[in-house]
Amino acid sequence: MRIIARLDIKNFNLIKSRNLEGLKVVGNPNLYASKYYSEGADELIFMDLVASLYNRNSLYEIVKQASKNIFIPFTVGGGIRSIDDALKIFDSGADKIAINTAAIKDPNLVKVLSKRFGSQAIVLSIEAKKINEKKWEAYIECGRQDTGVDVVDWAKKNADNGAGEILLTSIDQEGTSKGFDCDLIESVTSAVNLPLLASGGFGSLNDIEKVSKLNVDGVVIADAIHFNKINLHSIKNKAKELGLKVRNF
Amino acid sequence: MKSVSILDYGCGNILSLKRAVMESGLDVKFCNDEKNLLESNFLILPGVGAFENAMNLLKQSNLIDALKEYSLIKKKPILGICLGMQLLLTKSYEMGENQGLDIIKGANILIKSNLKSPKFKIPHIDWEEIYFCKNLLSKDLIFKDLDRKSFYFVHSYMASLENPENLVAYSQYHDVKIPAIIQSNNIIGCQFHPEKSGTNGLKLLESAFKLI
Repeated sequence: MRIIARLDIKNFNLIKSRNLEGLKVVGNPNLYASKYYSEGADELIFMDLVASLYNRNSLYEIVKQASKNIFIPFTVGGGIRSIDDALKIFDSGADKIAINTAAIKDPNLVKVLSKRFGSQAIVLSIEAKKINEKKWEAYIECGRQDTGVDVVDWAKKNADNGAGEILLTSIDQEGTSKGFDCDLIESVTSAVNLPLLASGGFGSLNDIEKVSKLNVDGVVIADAIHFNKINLHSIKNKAKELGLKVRNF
Repeated sequence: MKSVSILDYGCGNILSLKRAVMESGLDVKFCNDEKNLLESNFLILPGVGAFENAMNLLKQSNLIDALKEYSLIKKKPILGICLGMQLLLTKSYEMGENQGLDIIKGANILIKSNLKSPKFKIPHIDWEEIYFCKNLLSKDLIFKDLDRKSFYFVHSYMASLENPENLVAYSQYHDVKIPAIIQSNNIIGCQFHPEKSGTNGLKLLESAFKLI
């Protein structure tokens, strides 16, 4: 089980979001990234929450800075629409790129990118909103825009198109600290056999226990560590106690 | 001054790699032509993405013969990372059959499990402990401090070696034994990304540079 720190970025700041809506500035993302590296995070996700909306990208600088002294994998997302955008992000030091809005608008994009950069570098980012008991809809533009696309169908389609990993964020749970949407996770993992990262809702160590029973490869944590409610060390210890494979740090 | 050259042929996250090498206190140069390649003291062959694309890029830059001369005739130290390691092999079965550099005998094959566990997923993306082959641990091996340490893997294909003596360390993914470090004298390859494997990765690079 990979324990992954997620940094949501707005302009040059790390922000706290709720339901993917940026709420307030937390601080300098590079300081937080370095801290999580030294505390044993297995991976970092940098997600620009406004890039796709306003067609701009402040991520390059942040990622470049981070790659100077952080030696774990980075996944970077927000506003990536083309091979050129992807190249710029990879040249800044990203290992994987996360695609959401642009993939919905151009259903061939995942195929094109995975052919050029390899599946292992392409993360399909899904922002899922519950519409009824066992059904979720994919949203774009940071949870602002519905698409009519069913989450499970979308995951399957992109697995066939060459996505290498799925970052599954529950919009309903994101920023609430109320736990992951386990039904959502289960419905995707039972349909698609790709590595899956569960995002949105982590609030207590019990959430690790709940998610450990699902076929999840990584848990994504944001607020709980940004605000020092729980540290990475205790999360990793909990995972170890549960018998999960944890990086020998 | 000792320096390390990173082959820049348009295939890989070379910024992170450069930074990781610099942690060893060595100078880093990027090289992309035959002359600079052959003059290197230590060459890193990076690579991410598809095998065929990478071989085509090497061909276009006219680097294939230079790589063979550098490692097999001049016998200078070279480290292939991830796809860079796979390129050292004779051939690959990723998206059809393609020729590799044939510097270490073997093939690049899809990771396959016989267990049918839903937890077995491709690509294989995870931190894995690596285990050194027992017969090597007693020998004077530059990497052996790293036995049972974790490294970051991200790949769908793996090496299948013709000569088992080229296997230095492996990791275990379900029922599959994945070659993690391969070596033939001055030629080393690692399937994981040392530049993305925290302090253990930095240690591995530092140890490899002892070959300079």
